[in-house]
Amino acid sequence: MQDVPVHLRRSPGPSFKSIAAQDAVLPAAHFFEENPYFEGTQDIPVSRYTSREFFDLEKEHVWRQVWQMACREEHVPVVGDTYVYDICDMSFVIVRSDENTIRAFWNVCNHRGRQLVSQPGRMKVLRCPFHGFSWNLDGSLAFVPTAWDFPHIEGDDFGLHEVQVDVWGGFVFIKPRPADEGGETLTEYLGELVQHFAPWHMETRFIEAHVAKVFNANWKVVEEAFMESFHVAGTHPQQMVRLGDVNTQYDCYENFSRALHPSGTPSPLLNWVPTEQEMLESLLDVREGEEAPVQIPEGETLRSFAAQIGRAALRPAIGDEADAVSDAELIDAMEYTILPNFHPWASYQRAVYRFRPHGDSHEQAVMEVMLISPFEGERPAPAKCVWLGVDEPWTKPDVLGITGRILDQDSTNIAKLQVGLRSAPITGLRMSSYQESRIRHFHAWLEKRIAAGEVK
Amino acid sequence: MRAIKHPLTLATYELCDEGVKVTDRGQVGVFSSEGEWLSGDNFMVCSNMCGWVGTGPRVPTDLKDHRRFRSIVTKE
Repeated sequence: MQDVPVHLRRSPGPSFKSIAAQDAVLPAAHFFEENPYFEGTQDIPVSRYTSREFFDLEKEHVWRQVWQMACREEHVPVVGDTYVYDICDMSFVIVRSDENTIRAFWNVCNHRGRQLVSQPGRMKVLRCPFHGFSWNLDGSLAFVPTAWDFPHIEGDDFGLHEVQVDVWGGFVFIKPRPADEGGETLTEYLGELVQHFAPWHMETRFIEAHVAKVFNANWKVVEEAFMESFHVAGTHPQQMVRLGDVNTQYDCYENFSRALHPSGTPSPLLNWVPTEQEMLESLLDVREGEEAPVQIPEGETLRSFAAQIGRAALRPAIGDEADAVSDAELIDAMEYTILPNFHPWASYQRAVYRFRPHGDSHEQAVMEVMLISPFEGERPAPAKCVWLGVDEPWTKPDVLGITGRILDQDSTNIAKLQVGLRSAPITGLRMSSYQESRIRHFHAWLEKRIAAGEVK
Repeated sequence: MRAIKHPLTLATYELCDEGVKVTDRGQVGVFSSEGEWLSGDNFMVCSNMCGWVGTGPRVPTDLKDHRRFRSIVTKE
């Protein structure tokens, strides 16, 4: 290994590609391609997580500039439906203005600056509760109370401030730039990711569960806890029996990255070889002395067996398309990150994460977990978001299943990370070359955005 | 019994009345679910395994009930 250049070094053990290549149903060609990121091994400055000044730069050059997921289309299914999306000290209202159009506006009354809409609802006009100024759903001025006293208001220049909005995969994205400014479209921003996700029809899902939890940590501290598998041995050791951790594949693209974690294979760090049944029992958290609820049939592997069950479960929703869903898409963890903060898992893996600063704080964050599921028949209503405080576990709402318990393990690190960063004698974080390359790519992306904004 | 082996150290973590009993190469210690040592001659512990074994709720699931593999949702 010493002779291998640092950017080419990989863990011992089978690669994601070599495992997927042995499956009965193979994934798409892009899963057999690698796009590693390596731009050196320099430290990540600690101030990225602790400095108010850096947070303000992010606000100005990232959150005010880039495409970001605001809500699901299912949050505004009917004309007049509104949804509030807040980021840092900015508030936006998403509105379905007609059957085929979703708009987004700065959520501010043009009269005295009150936040216009406080919670989701269905409205004929957007009416400010303070004095009653009202705007049509397309943002045009609808009503001026005591108009005789406002001869200086002309309808044309008193419309709501509209920002850019577009929809991908049932997710409503906004870019907080004027609607008529142009610039990079959402499709351009997402790049190759659109093709990667095309087979999975994310717009055909509904929000089965939605939980948001507040952390006493910078938003990137929280997000970066979910951008590598290197931490599995330390934080989730119980998963090592059936999860390839250090042999995860990491790929980075212009505005997104992904991690492909092989499952149904043990960690290369183990010095013993579990059986297929032991890997299954690890997946189901069967303890010593307990009878497993299911046995892997003779001649099957955990991968092949789980893939069959997954396809059967999908068949009522997607019919014979289920036959084309690869084993890897059904059992491996394929986590994508659309920068800066949105993590849709691929295929039918249901999980979606979003990370944001909590309000305008650089030392508090919100992590949201949605489970978006296929459905049969009439679209069910999206689950309401359950909010958890800093000391409340993910398991409290009892809607995330075993995922909630795994997230609770992650949560033990997060607040303590911020405490450590704040008090650290170190000024930089020495991250790994490959396993933490998505985090390095994320920071390079931030640097590029901030530098470009400062030049302007 | 709610015991599980740590895949790396092969120490056994088992829920008991006092907390989590950790048996590692013949030495036994009892720890809280946060990994705080409570008693015994074993002081080495993985706090995350203590948490995994010592906190709930844990409901053994079938593969068909797992997030990835369970059936689609039908509106009631």
